[in-house]
Amino acid sequence: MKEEIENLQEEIIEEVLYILPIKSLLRFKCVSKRWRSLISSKRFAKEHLKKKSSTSTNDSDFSRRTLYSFYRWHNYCGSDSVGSIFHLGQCNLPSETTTTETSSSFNLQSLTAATLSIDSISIVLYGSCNGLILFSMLHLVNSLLIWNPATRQAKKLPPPYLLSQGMWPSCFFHGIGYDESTDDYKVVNISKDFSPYHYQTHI
Amino acid sequence: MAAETGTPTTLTLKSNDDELFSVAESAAILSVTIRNMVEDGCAGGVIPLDNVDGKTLASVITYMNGISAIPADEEKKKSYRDKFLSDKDFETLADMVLAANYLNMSCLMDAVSAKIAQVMEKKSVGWVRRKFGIENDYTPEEEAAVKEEHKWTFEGVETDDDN
Repeated sequence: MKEEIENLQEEIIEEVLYILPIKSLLRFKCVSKRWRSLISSKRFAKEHLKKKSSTSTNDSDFSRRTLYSFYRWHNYCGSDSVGSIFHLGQCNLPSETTTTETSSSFNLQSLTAATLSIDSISIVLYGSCNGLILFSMLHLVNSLLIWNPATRQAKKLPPPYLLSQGMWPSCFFHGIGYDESTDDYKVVNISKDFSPYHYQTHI
Repeated sequence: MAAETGTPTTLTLKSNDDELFSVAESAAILSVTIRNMVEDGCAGGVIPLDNVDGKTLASVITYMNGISAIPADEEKKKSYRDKFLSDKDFETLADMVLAANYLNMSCLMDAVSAKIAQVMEKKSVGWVRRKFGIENDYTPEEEAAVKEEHKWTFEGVETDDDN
């Protein structure tokens, strides 16, 4: 019996990796530099998302569960709403996207599943796309965050332009979407008192 | 083609270690590689399969016969594939995925890839390196840094079963 499968061609290995859950993939970044750069590449992430979206798997289930738990929290805490808006979209299932839109903010005791271990903090959820969740801390709206529950990685975005200029529009919303023409995710910010603008971010 | 003439045609396949196998043409043409040879009229004599050894070819032929005996019922085909692969070890699976790729048998290829992924899912980094013959080109410091980045993914890893 062969102990090493030396000639298992790279493309076949790649096909196998696409099937693996994210937890295994992130661990296998440690296998070699070649594996790390393959697994970290944008092309790989897109292909992986495509395969995962077309089949019902643990990863997309996980994202959905996370969104549902956000949603449940919202329902539970809905009574002490302060009137912000968030959109709950299950955009990780492209063909059968269902979007629940509701009007409230909610409190989250802690994001236990995340690496963000924040206790007793108010979270405003703005939207989600392909399993990414866009949110901010209440009263700290200049710190927008994008969280990927599947990789448990979060990224802090630069503050919106107006806020960085010291201006505070009376009301503003954020959303996240995927822009095919630039192959990137875009966060769109619309404010009431000023003209809409957007900025781009890399995930 | 055999299906049209009504007479079952048998093909002879030869592995790279010179073993000969007889297989019904109707089963063998699950391989697009073999089907193309049949359609081009060059499957008359012995068909040499230079990239497949006898042990693996025997397995693949068992699969060809088994799956082609099942009528068009995707559920039953799937459960046959699951059962067929359930007792195969990693080395056998790796040989089979290469053979399926060479023979261009997408249903076997997909099933074996999924099975390999299932076997790998909870394995350690060291296990993967050994099984895939990959040399660790990280310095200990670099490896520790990559590990630190995704520390949570090292929870629940199975103990290696190969040494």
